[in-house]
Amino acid sequence: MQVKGQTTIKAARGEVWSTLTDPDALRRCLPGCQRFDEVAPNEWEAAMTVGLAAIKGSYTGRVRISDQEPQRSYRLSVEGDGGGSRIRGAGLVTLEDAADGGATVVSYDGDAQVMGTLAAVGQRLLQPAARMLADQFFACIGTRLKE
Amino acid sequence: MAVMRMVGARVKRVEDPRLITGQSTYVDDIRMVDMLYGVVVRSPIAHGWIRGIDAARARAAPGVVAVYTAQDLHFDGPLPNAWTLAGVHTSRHDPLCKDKVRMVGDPVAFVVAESRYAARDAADLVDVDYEDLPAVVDVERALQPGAATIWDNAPNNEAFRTEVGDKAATDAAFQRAARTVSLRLVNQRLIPNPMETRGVVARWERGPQQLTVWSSSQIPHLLRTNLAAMLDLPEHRVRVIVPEVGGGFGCKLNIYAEEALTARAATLLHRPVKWIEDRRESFAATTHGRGQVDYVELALDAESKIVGLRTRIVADLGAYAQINTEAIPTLSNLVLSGCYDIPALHSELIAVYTTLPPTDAYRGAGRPEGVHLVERIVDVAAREAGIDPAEFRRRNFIPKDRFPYTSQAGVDYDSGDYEAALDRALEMADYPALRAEQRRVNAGGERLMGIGISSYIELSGFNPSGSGGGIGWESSTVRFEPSGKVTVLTGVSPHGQGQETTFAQIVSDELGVPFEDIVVVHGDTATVQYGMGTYGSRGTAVGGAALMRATDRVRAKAKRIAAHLLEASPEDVVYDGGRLHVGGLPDRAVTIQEVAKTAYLQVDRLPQEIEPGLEATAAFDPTNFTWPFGTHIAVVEIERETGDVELKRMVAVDDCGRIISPLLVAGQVHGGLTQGIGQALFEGAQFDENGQPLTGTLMDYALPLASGLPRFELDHTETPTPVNPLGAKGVGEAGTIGATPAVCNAVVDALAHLGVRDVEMPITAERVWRILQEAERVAVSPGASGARPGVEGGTGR
Repeated sequence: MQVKGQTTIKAARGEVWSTLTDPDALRRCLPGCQRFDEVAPNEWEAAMTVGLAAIKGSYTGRVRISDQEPQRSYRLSVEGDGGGSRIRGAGLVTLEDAADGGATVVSYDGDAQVMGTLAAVGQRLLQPAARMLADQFFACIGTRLKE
Repeated sequence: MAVMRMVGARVKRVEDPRLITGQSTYVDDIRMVDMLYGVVVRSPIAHGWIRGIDAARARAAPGVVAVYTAQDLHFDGPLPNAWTLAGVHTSRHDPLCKDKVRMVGDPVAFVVAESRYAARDAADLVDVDYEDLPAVVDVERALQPGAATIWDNAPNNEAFRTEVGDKAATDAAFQRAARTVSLRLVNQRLIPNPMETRGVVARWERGPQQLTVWSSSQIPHLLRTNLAAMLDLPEHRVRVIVPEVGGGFGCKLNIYAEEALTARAATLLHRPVKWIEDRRESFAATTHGRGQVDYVELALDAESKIVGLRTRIVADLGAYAQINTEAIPTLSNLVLSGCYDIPALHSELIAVYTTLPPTDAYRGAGRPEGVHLVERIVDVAAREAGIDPAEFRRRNFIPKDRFPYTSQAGVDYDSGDYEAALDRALEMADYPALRAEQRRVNAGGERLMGIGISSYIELSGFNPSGSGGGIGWESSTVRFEPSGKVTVLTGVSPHGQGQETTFAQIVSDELGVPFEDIVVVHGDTATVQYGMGTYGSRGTAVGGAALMRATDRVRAKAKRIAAHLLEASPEDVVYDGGRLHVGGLPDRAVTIQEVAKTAYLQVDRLPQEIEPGLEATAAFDPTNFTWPFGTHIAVVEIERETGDVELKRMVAVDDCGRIISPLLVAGQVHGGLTQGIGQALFEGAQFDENGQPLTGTLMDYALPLASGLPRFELDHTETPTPVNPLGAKGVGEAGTIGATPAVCNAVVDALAHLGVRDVEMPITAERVWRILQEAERVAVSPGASGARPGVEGGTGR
């Protein structure tokens, strides 16, 4: 399942970059995040409770940031298990200056595999649900930048 | 007193009042003090190694009594597989996976807790470490080099190959043929959906060392025998009770992991344990049906007589050999001559493992697939030979004076008159008028009308024990009570078929007792003598035949008692309705009720050589299958703009031999047609490339709805079978066999002018719309001339 989208955050690229790599911001903005503990540099163990499609469940797993090109892009990998489901996803997050200046366009393009209960129940609802979660996440990052 | 003749009468089902007023008991209605609840932890991946299972958190969860993994439970044997065919690569199938999972839903642990909810929550805490292996989803790609190996002892994922017929003769027939036609057909996987999912309750009583298992099953005695072996308990310490069952369709004709797990947990914990399958679980944990890719070729001579049939069947077994998994596709081979006199045929069957749920019996079980490919290729052949499909069939039917008929598939058809059923169906449909209407509708431009015929054969009355398995027989006990009421025990296990009604009709006629005085008991191994259960359209054809034998014996004994009471010899006693009188002297009579009372409570009136009591047990092992047949005609209209297929008419003329109970036969045909139409138009199990189900709930898996069905037009011809004393052939599966190709043939008939020869099932609006769009594109694009849309089988993707 491809998860792809774009959002514009009204802040300079450097600010957006540091927020998007700040564990505290990630903890606060990952939807339903209850725990976000660093286990290695740029790798965290996370616990999240999220509703995906019709299934609300608690997932534990790992979040990892790799292939960092400061202020330009990084690769985000997520592994989660819970409720008889598994989620495996990885994608590239890219930052660019917006045309009108002073804002940053954040693009994400990744591939997610969903297995178990989630796959059985929600396949055709998953893509919009994943989009919605991504939108929530970036909206939250944007809000934090305003604070 | 003359009793009205019940066989052939339109009797309402005695089962229905309790069912429709909610007065019946299903497995989940069973509640016991101290009862525990089990939940199965299932694999979320289709294929992988189990590197470790950590159940500590689950064991510590509130209300949890036990968490079992494969290491924790001992069974004396694996889950049974009934058909150890020579050369079949099967592997040990344990109730819980030890080191490898082979499908999404594979059981890896069993959590038992004080409540269903506690068990469910704790199941999420069982931490299983999997190492992923590639899934094997496509049955043809499974055979290719590079596909992951599912079982080490099945190279290329091939379980076995088998063939029927004469290859050399068939190849020669194709070489001589004036015309040959070929098709590739996908007979898609279906997911059985009985209204009641599976469920098990098990209770272990320490004092008497007695295990009682309630299960929503079609085979109580076979379940008992197999459970006793797996649990290493003496068989007479195990009792299986099958309470009310809300449908089975073959998917409850099995011995499942959950039955063994629930029973084992009860014996270990000394408390009753209940496991109830939820609907979503059922989609993954209960066997599927169909699942074949079929290549079929037909050879015709210059007069359009069939001279040869050649098929290659690639059957998707799924991940495991359940009890009848490998046997099902072999049944397709047996019906390949269809209703036709085919002088040479050859079929190669390749059975293949995939990382999907096992396939097994599903209403029709192998025969729908076989008949579908015959009826589809016959239709294509008729069109390409320029002959009306009804006429083509008539020309090739086995004539009625050729029975018993030995088909080139190596089976003996018992009796048949195929032309009579075809004629009746054509008459009911008013075939010439339909063709005229079709021309009119199609000229209008907005809708496309199609008429589809299928003339099917099936093999039923499972099964002559000599045909394989050695377990095809059935039993019955008929017992007069002292009051003259009759109790019938049967080894079949009806779960919707209505033998409480049909068997009472038979007994009422045979013994001359009022219908309401007869009760039919089934589904409890403690009260019913051994029997094989209900499947393969055997209830009446085999169970009813055993019942006839038992009534013969009871009648003979009643005559001996009456003879004594009437001071006559038994040969002179006439059993006339409920009265036994001396021949020629109708007034010198006793009633059967008086005979029964004497047999139990006034045995001082009888001589020593007559044993007290009035009951008999009999068994029947058929010498052959029965061979029902019929013709179904479907009429569809397709909306050009949307591709929507509307089924306008469904005419079904079924010959199930002698009809015992017309209303119940109609009910069976209605249900069967609905499922057959469901396969043609709506249903189909879909998986992604990782083996994850895309049709995992009833939101995504489309069952037929009443709103999408026309009013069925039914009739029957009656050609009795010589195989059993009732003359009944069976009707439980007929609808699923005839309806599917009839509907497909109708859709193809509507689209044939576009060059379409097949549309892959289920024939959704989208698939038809794509075909129509492609046809339009080709029509307006001169550069694409010559391209015939949808010609190559799997169109409309």
